[in-house]
This record gives sequence, C-alpha cells and structure tokens, in this order.
Amino acid sequence: MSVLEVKNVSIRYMTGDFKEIGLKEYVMRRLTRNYHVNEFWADKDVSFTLDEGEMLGIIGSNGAGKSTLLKAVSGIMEPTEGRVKRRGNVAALLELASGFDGELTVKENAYLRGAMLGYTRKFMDETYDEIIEFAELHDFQDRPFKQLSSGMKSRLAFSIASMVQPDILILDEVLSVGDGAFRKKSEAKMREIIARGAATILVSHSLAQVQELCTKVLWLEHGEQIAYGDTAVICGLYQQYLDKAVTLDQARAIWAALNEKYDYLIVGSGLYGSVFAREMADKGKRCIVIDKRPQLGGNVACEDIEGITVHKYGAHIFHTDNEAVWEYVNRFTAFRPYTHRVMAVSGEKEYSLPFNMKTFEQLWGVKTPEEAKKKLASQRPRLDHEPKDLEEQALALVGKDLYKTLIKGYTEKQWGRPCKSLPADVIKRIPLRFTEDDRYFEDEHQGIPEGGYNGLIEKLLEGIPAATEMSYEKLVNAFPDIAKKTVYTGPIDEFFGYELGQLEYRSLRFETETLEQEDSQGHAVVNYCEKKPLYTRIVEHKHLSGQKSPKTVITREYPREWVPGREAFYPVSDERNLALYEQYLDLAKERPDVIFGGRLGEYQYYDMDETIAVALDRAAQEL
Amino acid sequence: MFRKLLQHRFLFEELVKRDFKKKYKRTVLGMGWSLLSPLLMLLVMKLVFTHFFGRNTPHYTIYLFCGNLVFNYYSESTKSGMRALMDNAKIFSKVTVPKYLFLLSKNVQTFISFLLTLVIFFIFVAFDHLAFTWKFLCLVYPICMLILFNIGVGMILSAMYIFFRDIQYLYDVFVRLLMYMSAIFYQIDSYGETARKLFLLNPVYLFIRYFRKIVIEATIPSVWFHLLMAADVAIALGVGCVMYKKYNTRFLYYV
Repeated sequence: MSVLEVKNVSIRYMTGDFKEIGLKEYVMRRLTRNYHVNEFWADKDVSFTLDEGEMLGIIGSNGAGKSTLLKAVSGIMEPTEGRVKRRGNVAALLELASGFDGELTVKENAYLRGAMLGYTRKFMDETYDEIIEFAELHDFQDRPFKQLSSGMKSRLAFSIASMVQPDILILDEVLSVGDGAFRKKSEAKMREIIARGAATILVSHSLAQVQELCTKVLWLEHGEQIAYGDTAVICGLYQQYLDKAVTLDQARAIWAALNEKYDYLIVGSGLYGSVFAREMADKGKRCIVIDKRPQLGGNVACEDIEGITVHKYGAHIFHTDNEAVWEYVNRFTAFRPYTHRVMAVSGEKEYSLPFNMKTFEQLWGVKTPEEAKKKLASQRPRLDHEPKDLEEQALALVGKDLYKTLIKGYTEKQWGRPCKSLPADVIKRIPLRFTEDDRYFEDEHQGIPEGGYNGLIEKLLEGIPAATEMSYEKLVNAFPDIAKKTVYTGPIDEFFGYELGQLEYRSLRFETETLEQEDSQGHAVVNYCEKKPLYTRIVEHKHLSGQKSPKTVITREYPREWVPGREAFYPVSDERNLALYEQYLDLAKERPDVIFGGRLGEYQYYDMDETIAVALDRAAQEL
Repeated sequence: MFRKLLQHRFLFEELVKRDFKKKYKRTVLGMGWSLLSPLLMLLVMKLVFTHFFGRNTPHYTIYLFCGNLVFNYYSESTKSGMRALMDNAKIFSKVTVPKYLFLLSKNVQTFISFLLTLVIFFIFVAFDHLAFTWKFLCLVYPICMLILFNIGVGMILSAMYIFFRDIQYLYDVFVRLLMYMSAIFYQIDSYGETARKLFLLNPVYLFIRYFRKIVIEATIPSVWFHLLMAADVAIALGVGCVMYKKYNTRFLYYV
C-alpha cells in the first residue's frame, strides 16, 4: 500500500492582486485600467505514488515547481486542484538554514527547531548532546546564531532534523550540506533513516546522487510533469535535455513513446536497423528504435563542422551493383555522383590504388602491361607449400615490392600484429589491374547522399519514435515488455553477456581536426602504408561532399585493439571467432523473439549496400 | 483546539521564551520596562491632565491608571499580535504548525506585562485609601474577556496584515483615535445622553469602565453590561477564527 499518493495536483499562485500590490498601487492601477491579476501555475497536474522503503527523486531546472510540490506533499500548502493522501507522519527538510532566529543562541534555536518539528521536550533533552555532537558545534552552543557560518547553520539544521524516524521523509537539497566530510556523514545518516523503512522524496541537482539513491524519478519542468518512472532512463533523458541534445518537447515525446507497446524494438539505428524499421513501419507494424550513441545513424552518422559534412565514423562511399538496393536508397535521398579514388603514401612517394598501371609506373617506371606482368612474375617467390601466413600469401599474390611498399605496414597497423602471425586467409585476393582504371570501386552506382547520410536516416526513420543515448540494457530494465520482438544490431556476444567468451573485433579511433587552409591533401582519402605515422589514413571531408569552404576538416584514422566498451568496427573472421559465433547462434535459437542483424549482430563484414540488402531480406522474411 | 495546543505545548513554550528573549534583549532593565513604561506614561498624564480634568474627578490617579492599564494592554497586545504571523512566516512556510500559536505566544507576553502592571495598580489602589472589597473578585471577568478580545482582534489584524500591509499605518492611527475616545483621562458625564450611550459601543471603554466601577465606585455593573462585553468578545473572536480557518493555507502565498 502506498504511503503517499499525489493525484493530479496543481498549485496556482496569484500575482498582482490587490493583496500583493497594496492598496495604493491597486487604486492606481484601477484608475489607469492597468489592473491585471496573473495566474501562475507552479505545478500542473502532477501525479505519483510512493511506497514504503521507496525513494523518489525529483529533478528539474530551477523554477520547475519542485519546492512548491514538496510543500503540498508536506501539508504546508494546500493544492489548488487535485489531492495529496498521506498515510503516516511527514518530516520535511526544506531549505534548511532559513527559519532560524539570528538573535537566539545555538542552543535556544536547536530547541525551537526541535519544537517546530514536533519533538517533545523530553526527546530534545535526551538528544540535544547528540545533535550538537553531530553538528560539530560543541564550542558554539551559547553563541548567537547569527555568528555562525552558513555551513554551520545547515549542519545544525540537518542534525536536528535527522533525529526523527518519520514515515515519509522529504529532503530538499539537504544532502549537499556542509563540507565534504560532513556531507559523507549526512549521507550515511540519511541512508540509515531510509534503511529503517521510511519512504523518501529527494530533491537534488546532483544527477549522480539521484541515480545512485533513487528507485524512481519524477521530472518536472515549468511545473509540468515531463516523466515519472525508471531512474536510469529519465536521468538519461534529463541529462540529454541539460546538454541541449533534445528539447523539452522531444524529451516528453520520447518518454511517451517509451511507455507504449510495439511490435518491434530495434536496437541500433544504423542502416540495418533503420531499413528494417522503415520496412516494418510501412507494413503497419509498430516499431521503436534506440541507439546508445548520442545520434542516430550508426556508423554512417555525419556531423557539420565549419559548414563541412563530416563522416563521424570514417569515410562512407555508397557503391553498389544491386539495382534493387540502388533504387531503394534513391527513394529516400538524392545522391551526389562521386567516384572514389584513393592515394597511398609510402616512403614519401604517392601511389595510385588499387594496384593498376599507374601504380606499376610509380613503383618501377614500367609503361606497358607486359612489362608490368614480367616484373611481377620476377617478384613472386617460388613456394612449394600452401602459404601459411599472410606474408607468404601476399608475396605469392603480388611479389615483394608491392608487398613491402604498400601492404605490409598498412596491414600490420590495421591488425595490430606482424603479417607473419596473421592467418593467410585474411587476404584471399588482391586485384591487379593492367589498365589505367584507378577507380577504387568498380560498381555501377557510386555516390554520396546530398548533405550527408543524416538525411537518409531521417527519411528512413520518419514517423518512427527513436531514442538516443539509450542502451538496450537500460531500456529493457525499465520496460521489459516494450515490444514483442527485438532486432538487435549490436554485438551478439554482448547481448548474451559474453557468456561463451568474447568474439574479437577491431576498433578505430578518429582524430578530427579543422585546418585553416583551403585544401590539405587534395584527395578524399590518402592511405599511409608504412609503420609510421600510426594512422592508416586521412580523410579530407570536403572532397567527399564537394563543399566549398576556406577551411578544411580532416580525420585521421587510428586502428586499435577492441576491448569491451570500445566501439566495435570490424569482426575478426578467423577460425576461432567464427566457431564461437556459431555457438552464439545456437544460443540465439533459444531466443526466437530476437533477430540478430547487421555487421555486429551477424559477425560479418557488410558494405552499406549489402547491409541494406540483408535488412530488406530479413524484413521480407518477417512479413 | 485545546488538544492541539497540548500537543504543541513544547513549541508553544519555546515560542513564548523566544518572544521574551527577543523583546528585552540587550536592555539594561529587561522586564523592568514592562513596569516602568506604563508608570512613566501615568506620570506624564497625571502632570498634564490633572489641571484640566483632575479637579472634579475623585481618585483621579486611579481613574487614569484604570484607563492606561486596560488601554496599554489592549494596544500592545493587538499591535504585536498584528505582526505575529508575518514575523513567523519563515517558520510556517516550512513546517506545518498551527498558526495561532504565534499569536498566542505574543499574547502570553503582553498578558504577563499586564499582570505585573496590575500588581502595581493594586499597590496604587492601596495607597489611595480605596477599600479592597470582595467585589474585586469580579475583575476576573473583564480580565478574561479582555484576553479573549485581544486574541480575537489580534487574529483579525494579523490575517489582514498578511494580505494588506497598509493596515499597520491605518491601525496606528486608529489606536490613537481610540485612545482619545476611550475616556482615559476625562469623564463622559458632561456629554449628553446619546453621546454617553455611544461610548458603550467602544469595547475598550467597556473594560475600562468595568475596572473603574469595581475599584473606585465599588459597584458591580449590570447584567446587560456583562452581556454587552461578552457579545463584543464573541464577535471579535468569531471573526478572527473564521479568518484563520478560511485563509489558513492561503497566508503562504503572500508572505
């Protein structure tokens, strides 16, 4: 049974009526026809309940109506509308340091305050020493109260107030009283009171404190109830609101959306998740999308820096031979024609990629395909066995010059270990073109969405509720039954809590920099193929988007080890990992309500077009 | 209400203590002022008015003292009562306590001053060779009535003061006016029949008159006089209680 029930409580202040402005002003305003009574609703339609042993956190900016609400809860104020039902006695610790009398001594004030809180004289006599002890004011007992520092005043107030054992305890910013040491002491004291079974309401501007202590949260803003419920989810939303990542209306809409029921919960808003959501929504299924990152779009997310569209997670060039996919994406965005070319830097020289006649000329000075082929043949070692590592494999495919100049350093940086200890099957094929064709992709359709990928994602998710900075764990914790089925596009091993062991991934670190020059490298992407520098490539974003600007934005890409918590980019598809993935797939069979999809969910490298194709397929299967 | 009062006894005691301490803090004479100031007032009036009014009035000092005794109690009690709520706004906007406690506490204080002055008054009576008759016991009635009347007026004033700060100035003027209309230093015999009746509409005059009748004339006023007094008290107290009841939760908005 709830100890406290607050139902549809609204509290109105009247400002400017004659009681407030005084008689003279009243007459004056009446005469000048300037007399208005303004209504101000400090709280509008607030409802919550509190059970024994629960702790409710109330959050919101200044002027949100928190303190007024507390006054209604504690009975100091009567709500204008709605009702407050209390079962048991309330102890309200509001704005502690005020309400003392500066002229009286500390001791007299202590007794007076005790009396106000409803203690008996006997109780005060018994606990007075304890109170002074706790407040650390032993030497100040007979000093006039006004001589105390504000910290001391708060300490005394807290000490007196915390002697009670109420059924309902109201704490308004009281846990941030005094210095660090006292704060610890007061927190311990509060926990003690709560542990004894009091239902508690905590108002605090410290989100960390609320998250740590509260079992549920009420978020007020301008007197309105924005959200009431799960602590982690609401605190997350509130933080996003404070960071100006979402507006108040958006936050409210997200909270409302989370409280509904869906056919599909889609975890991850990358291309797979967004396409799947679009397909399902178009077929009348109810979907909700969440993403743990601060923005939607997974790895194709873009951001605007200095008027240049920056690919946040590495250069993404859309290329496909799949007509259906090309048609599909063109429904949602226009593409800027773009042919991708990549330069490679090694030994202070630039080379054309992928390996073509230009590369061979730059490397050896050869002019004709015949010369090139001859040179290549002379470079390849004779092997009397199957290549047993990547180095042998690469040498067998392209010979020592190409390997040493353009493959070895790059690959070793990419994988974080020497080529000799990498399995041969990491490279199955190395294309060698004996033409001048230096296009990076040979696909028929190539391009980059006008204005970046965000527009595409927005269109895909149009009309579908989506929440960012929302991990799957956090969501399911708060709303276990939110959807009938889940589409999980995160790492499959993470979903199962790594219970069979960790799959391996490669991760990347991006270092983005704005340069005060018009052009930095003249190409969209330049690969760095030696051991040093440590980055594998630099992307200069304006060459991808074709935007004009006196400045330029570049991103250096550093490969790095993946450990749990880091962004996983590439699956490491070797024998061990693939076997482990198979085991996880078996585990997944026990969860027919969960679809694992995308690069991480399926532990498979997908290009963007492939991702869309598999998402479309999977969606079609579902229907 | 009495049960509530009992429940809040500790708070009430502490409030009274506080009000006393605050009133006399850092004064040399402290409580002495409660005695001294009415006596000084009496002395001044005696010096000034004896010449004009005192010649035809028997026991003029006691006559004056009766007026001052009652009027000072009334004026101090209601004036401090008026501020009782406002002064404690910080408290009742944070803790739920019965708000009349603040008013009662102020009244306790002024009542104690009144009692002290009353003792002096009796000493003066003895010096003036007036006989202490059994009728003096009747004084309990106007004293009790006056206490209740002061509380009632204090309630009305303190409630109005919250909503309407101008009241403090208006009331100052009113109190001064009331003083002149309460026949403190003059006799009303020279007025006509109707005018004398009009004096009875002034409750403070009733209390003063009661004291004079008992102490100087050694007669007990009529039953009607008693009833009139009771009616005045009932009205003041009634209006006060209704206002407190009605605005109990609204005071908060205007402090």
